Amino acid sequence: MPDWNPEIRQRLAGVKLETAREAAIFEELAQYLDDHYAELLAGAASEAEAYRQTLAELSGSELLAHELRRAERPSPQEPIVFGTNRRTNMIADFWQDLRYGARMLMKNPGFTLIAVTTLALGIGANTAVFSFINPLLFKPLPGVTQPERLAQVSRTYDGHGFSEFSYPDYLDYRDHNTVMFGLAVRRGGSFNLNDGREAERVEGEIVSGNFFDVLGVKPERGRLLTPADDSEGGGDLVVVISNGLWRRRFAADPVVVGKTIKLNGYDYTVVGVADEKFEGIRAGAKMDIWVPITTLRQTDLSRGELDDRGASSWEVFGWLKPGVTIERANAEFSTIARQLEQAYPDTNDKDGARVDPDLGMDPEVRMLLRQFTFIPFAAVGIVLLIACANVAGLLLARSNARRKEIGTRLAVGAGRARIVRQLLTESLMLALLGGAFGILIGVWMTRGVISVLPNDFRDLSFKFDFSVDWRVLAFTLAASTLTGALFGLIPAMQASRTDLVSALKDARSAGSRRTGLRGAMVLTQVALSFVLLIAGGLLIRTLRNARAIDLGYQVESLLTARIELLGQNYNEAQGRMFQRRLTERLEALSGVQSVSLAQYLPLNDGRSEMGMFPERDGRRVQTFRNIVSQRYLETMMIPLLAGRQFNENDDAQAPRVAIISETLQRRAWPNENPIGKRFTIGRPTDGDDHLPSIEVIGVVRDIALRYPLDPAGPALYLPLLQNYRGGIALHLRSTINPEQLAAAVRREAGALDPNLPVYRVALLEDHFTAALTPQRLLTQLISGFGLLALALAGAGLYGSLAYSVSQRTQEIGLRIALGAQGRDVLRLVVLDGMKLTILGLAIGLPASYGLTKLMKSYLYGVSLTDPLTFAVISATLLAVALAACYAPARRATKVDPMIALRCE
Amino acid sequence: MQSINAQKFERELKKGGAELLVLSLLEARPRHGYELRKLIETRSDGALKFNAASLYLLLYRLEKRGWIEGRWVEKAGERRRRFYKLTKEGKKALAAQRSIWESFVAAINRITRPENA
Repeated sequence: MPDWNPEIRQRLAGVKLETAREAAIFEELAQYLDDHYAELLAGAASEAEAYRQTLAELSGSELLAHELRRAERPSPQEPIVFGTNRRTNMIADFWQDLRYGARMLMKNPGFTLIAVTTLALGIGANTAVFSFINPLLFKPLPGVTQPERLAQVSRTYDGHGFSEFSYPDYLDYRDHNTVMFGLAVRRGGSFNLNDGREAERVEGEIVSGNFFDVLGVKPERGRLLTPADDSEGGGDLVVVISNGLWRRRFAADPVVVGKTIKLNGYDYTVVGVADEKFEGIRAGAKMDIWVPITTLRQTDLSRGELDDRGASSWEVFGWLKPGVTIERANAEFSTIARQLEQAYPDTNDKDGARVDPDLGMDPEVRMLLRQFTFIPFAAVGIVLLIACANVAGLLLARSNARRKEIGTRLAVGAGRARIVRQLLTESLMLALLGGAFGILIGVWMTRGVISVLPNDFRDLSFKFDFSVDWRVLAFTLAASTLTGALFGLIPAMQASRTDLVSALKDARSAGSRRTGLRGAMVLTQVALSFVLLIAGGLLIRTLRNARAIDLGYQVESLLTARIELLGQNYNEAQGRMFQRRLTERLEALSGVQSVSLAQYLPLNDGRSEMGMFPERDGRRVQTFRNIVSQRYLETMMIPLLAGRQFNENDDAQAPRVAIISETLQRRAWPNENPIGKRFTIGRPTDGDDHLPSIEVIGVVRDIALRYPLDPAGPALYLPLLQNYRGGIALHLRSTINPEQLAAAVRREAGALDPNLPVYRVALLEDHFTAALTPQRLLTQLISGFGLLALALAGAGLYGSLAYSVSQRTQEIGLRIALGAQGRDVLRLVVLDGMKLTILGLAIGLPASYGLTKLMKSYLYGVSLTDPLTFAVISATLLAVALAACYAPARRATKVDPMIALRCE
Repeated sequence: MQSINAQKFERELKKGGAELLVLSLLEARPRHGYELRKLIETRSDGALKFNAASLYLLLYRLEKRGWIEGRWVEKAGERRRRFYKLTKEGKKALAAQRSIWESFVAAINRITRPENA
């Protein structure tokens, strides 16, 4: 048999193949040629003929050669990986990196434990903050179809704010806009529910007929409301009840549809039960019933509200048509607002409209919450950065220890990219491990945050679902991955730059660059923790100042409670009688100093803003308004500055009177004595004499209205005797303990009317505490995270110094051998650490200003550059740094010069 | 039915045809290079012939593509041979090529059939 190899070799010359591969191809082709040659011979061809014909099989080998050259070209510098010489692909590489990484992490359990713990704390803090705001900002409204298409419309005044609309305004927007499929309207309402058993106070919504249609809610039983229920002069009173109420009150009775229940004394027919998931359009506020707007016309809830363009209490939302952007919707609603302003200057002066995406939360609250959550997010971001710098420092130190290993891998041909990838995989594994524990820490921290919330907020937390969902997991995963890349990249790049020769010789000439980087990591940690500690310090000072704030009234020893007469078939005369008798009974209790009634509680109740018009002026002055009984100023202890209080003679028959606050005086009658001045509510027009003229009889001090730390706004007080309200808040100042007093209030009210629910019983002090929740929450979060940051930075400094001492054993030994005293060595190491710390402080100083500026609106009575805070925090940080330096420095003094010098 | 444009026509004719032959023959069982050559020759009654260079060009290309997989097999008393077998991807490719081929042949038939038939 001829040897075909030379022929094959000649024809495939120039194809540079791997030896093994080349041999295989040669063998295969030769085998083929052998077969063919043998067959030709068997077919009686001559040897020469067979040889010639067999060689012809190789004609056209240029193409084969070309194909082999193209397909089998060896990659320029194939990475050599331990334990294999086969070609590897990305996935195999990655798998190998993972296994190798896992081995390395398990080989150094101490290092792994410290790094994972540090990262878990950093990532966990982020997870905690995220899972806290997740249900508030990100989870969509449950039970609603396509929540992303829903948009909220709010009224602006002078370009600002998020107010409600009047019903006539709503009708105009509904009928004239072209950007929404349906524009619906709602208003909250409380109802006394009575079905023959114990009376219950339920929260509900008064809604337009298209409400459920716009939201795309499905019924569980019966039907939901339709536009027909809403037609003017509509038929029977109907109600849709929530799934929760159906189960709780009616034991999920399947024949509840068609039943009659009493709401606020009127008979309503239950037409349906809403879908289980749907609980109203305010996330966290569970609604139990929905009644159509016509209810207002048929019951005495109305008081002409539906026809009054000045009565703005309706929240408007709609379903954006496909392709309509928020911007376009905004433009169109603004145009309609301008048309309404021109048509109705009395009521719509300066009124505008804005459209915001998302339902589920008061857009103003949402905006405030976004601003608010930015601060804790910035704080936990800083904590995470510190954790990153900390672990990066550890990795830098460890990469020094691994120089020999890395040098070996470089020497046997691993590319730099390959080494970086390996090290990054290890970092990523650390980060993901940290993330996994971070979720646990996050859950635990979220619970902690919820537990420091005041009671009424904690009740909310039952309605909000703070549990871990895919959003939280995705967030944590993203945070972990980013973290791994962040802390892993610099050390990996640095390590792969290892100088082969010195690494393999095990020389200790650790690059000064690496030491510099480690120093930079420590410095970053000090600077960042300084920023957080300053922020925490300023907040602590704020909270302290806020507790001592002068609200303009005394919150201590004041019990408040609400009573709603409107739902109990009281007419005005009966209502007045009830209010007077209840006040008398409560005043008669021993220990009660004074009792008064008011429409709104400060620091708690919704705002009631309105326009007042000083006579012979024509300007409109916007003011908060409260309707109060005679002894209100006395009960609240609001000082009277001029004029007189209301008394029992200021009744419905007497001339109309009012008391104003200092700020309202300055706005309405600047530099004038306001006593005896007159104004109207609503703009007087020619021939319109039914607007009563009201006389100012007194001026009182400004008080904090909605938020304790807000600058006081204008306030107007009208007497209850002249402005009857059925829903009122009781105010009792007393020396009795709150529980006993609350029981007494219920007893006295029950003696007058056993069916009357007394609700929201609380000390005004509790409302005050609750109003400071954002500050307290921020203070606890930021100072907590600040302490965590301090601990991490301290540990980072300690680790860095301990490592550098171990690296400098030889140098220190030499110094001691040459006569350096323990004192000198101590100073050497401590100075090293303190230099870094002081440099960190110097960088943190301007940086802290950046963060604190963001939270300016949450600070009170303390300047952004409060010297006391800066001094205390700086001293604390220096002390911690000194402590962190001390142990490594002590160890340095113990270096035995003989051993140190011999150890090379 | 898949539409066939002129370019595809030519390409399929030249390359796909050869690929289809090899893939079809490997469908039943693994075969070595020379066996393939012989089968193509005998089954086409000598009308289709490959030489070693063009056959291995094709085999290496298909192998590189992952449609077939070569493996050395030793049998007692014989030299070892490299057998090629169809991979999962190869089976898919074969099915696709077959349907293209059938469309192609059907199209040709429709055109080349005498008009009055």
